[in-house]
Amino acid sequence: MSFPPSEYEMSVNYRLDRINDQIYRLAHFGRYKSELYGKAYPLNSIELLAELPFTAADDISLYGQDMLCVSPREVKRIVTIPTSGTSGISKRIYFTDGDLSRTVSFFAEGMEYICAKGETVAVFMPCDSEYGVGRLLCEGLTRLGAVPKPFGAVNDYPKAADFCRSALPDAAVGIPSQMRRLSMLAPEIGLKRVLLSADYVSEAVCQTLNRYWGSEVFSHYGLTETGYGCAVECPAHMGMHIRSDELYIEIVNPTTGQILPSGHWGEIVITTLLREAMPFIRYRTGDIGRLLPPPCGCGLNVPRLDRVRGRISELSRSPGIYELDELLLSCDAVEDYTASVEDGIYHISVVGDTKSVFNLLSRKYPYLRFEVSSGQGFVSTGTTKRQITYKTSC
Amino acid sequence: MERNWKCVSCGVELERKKAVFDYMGRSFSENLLKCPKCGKVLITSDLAAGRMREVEEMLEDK
Repeated sequence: MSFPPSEYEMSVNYRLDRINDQIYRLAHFGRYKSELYGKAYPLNSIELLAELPFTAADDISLYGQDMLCVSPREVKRIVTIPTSGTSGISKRIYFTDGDLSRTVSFFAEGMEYICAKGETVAVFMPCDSEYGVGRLLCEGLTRLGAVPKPFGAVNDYPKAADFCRSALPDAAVGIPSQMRRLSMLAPEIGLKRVLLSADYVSEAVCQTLNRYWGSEVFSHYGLTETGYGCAVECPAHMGMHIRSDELYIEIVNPTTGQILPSGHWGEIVITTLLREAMPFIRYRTGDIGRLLPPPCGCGLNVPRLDRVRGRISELSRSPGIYELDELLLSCDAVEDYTASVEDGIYHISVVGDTKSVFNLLSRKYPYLRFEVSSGQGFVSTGTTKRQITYKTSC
Repeated sequence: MERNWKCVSCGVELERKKAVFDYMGRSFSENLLKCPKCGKVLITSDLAAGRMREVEEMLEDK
């Protein structure tokens, strides 16, 4: 198990063996679709994976406990996440000690792209809970020989700026819109490198970070379902190296479910390869991305994901949050904003100059109605993603 | 009316007492049936799948 993955970990034989192991676990130790997985086991070729059904977010919400393949006493950590499915029930994702330990290894090895031994890294990811993403990242950084400085998700920007002035980090890991706002508040901090994660990474955010801090910006894509980590950008900035020892990725047509060839945009579907507690077979992430053929510009012959375009639910709207982000977050008069739609009217709550926002929006979307007011901006502990809230009046 | 539960190991009747739970670095307490001798607590399936799960999920942050 390594990152970047070895030749063997990228081979068809490795993938097939590991997928068969995950199917076996579900068939024999879990109760979810155990009969179906039992009949499918073993797959004789990786192409046969496409004949297995997808796992949806709702399946985890409704049958998550049946996907558990270890004794409950072997579960080291459970993460509950608000559902993105239609059931309205939260998803609970289970991890063993081994599952978490492999995530730490990935963080340790992946962070080598962003920081060197002895460098200080500010962690603006949730750091409050045991075996949470922030703490595992700090453990990975320590293993790498860097010095992690945990802060947590940013909701108090002056406090975060003071934290940086005192900790003097070389690099930071944080949520895109929060890092952008922090850079605008305290441009003198001037971080050399910033890794963005936990939400859509817009070009506007990257450019602002580059302008205010002079930062080299890296993207990371991961979900709780992937054990937090999935793919991370290397210094060549030509896509994100996939954690191929741990995950097998397919890109499918979101409507038909048909597998798309490398280079085509579609829904990211994930099959875990080493998961002990809760294996996933063909889990539909709801995110749009595409695979890039090797080699990477860094010279490594690794499979890569292009920068993820965002959630299907947001991309199907026009303008959705990502389109608004590219427009509004490229404007220096806007520190942050939130958006909601009620009765066809876009309500934009802005931290910054409301007049500039109104003018920008009215020019770009003359056929839409906007009401712009002052607000507090997007508050997130790292679990929720930016989105437009749709309201209906009674 | 509450059933009279006995502890299998100790053979004594359970008493309603304060039980303290630790989860994810937090503590919370509840009055539950507890063996006065060995301290084992009776957790009913209703409690486990109801209130306990609710509290657990609230603490299981990313």
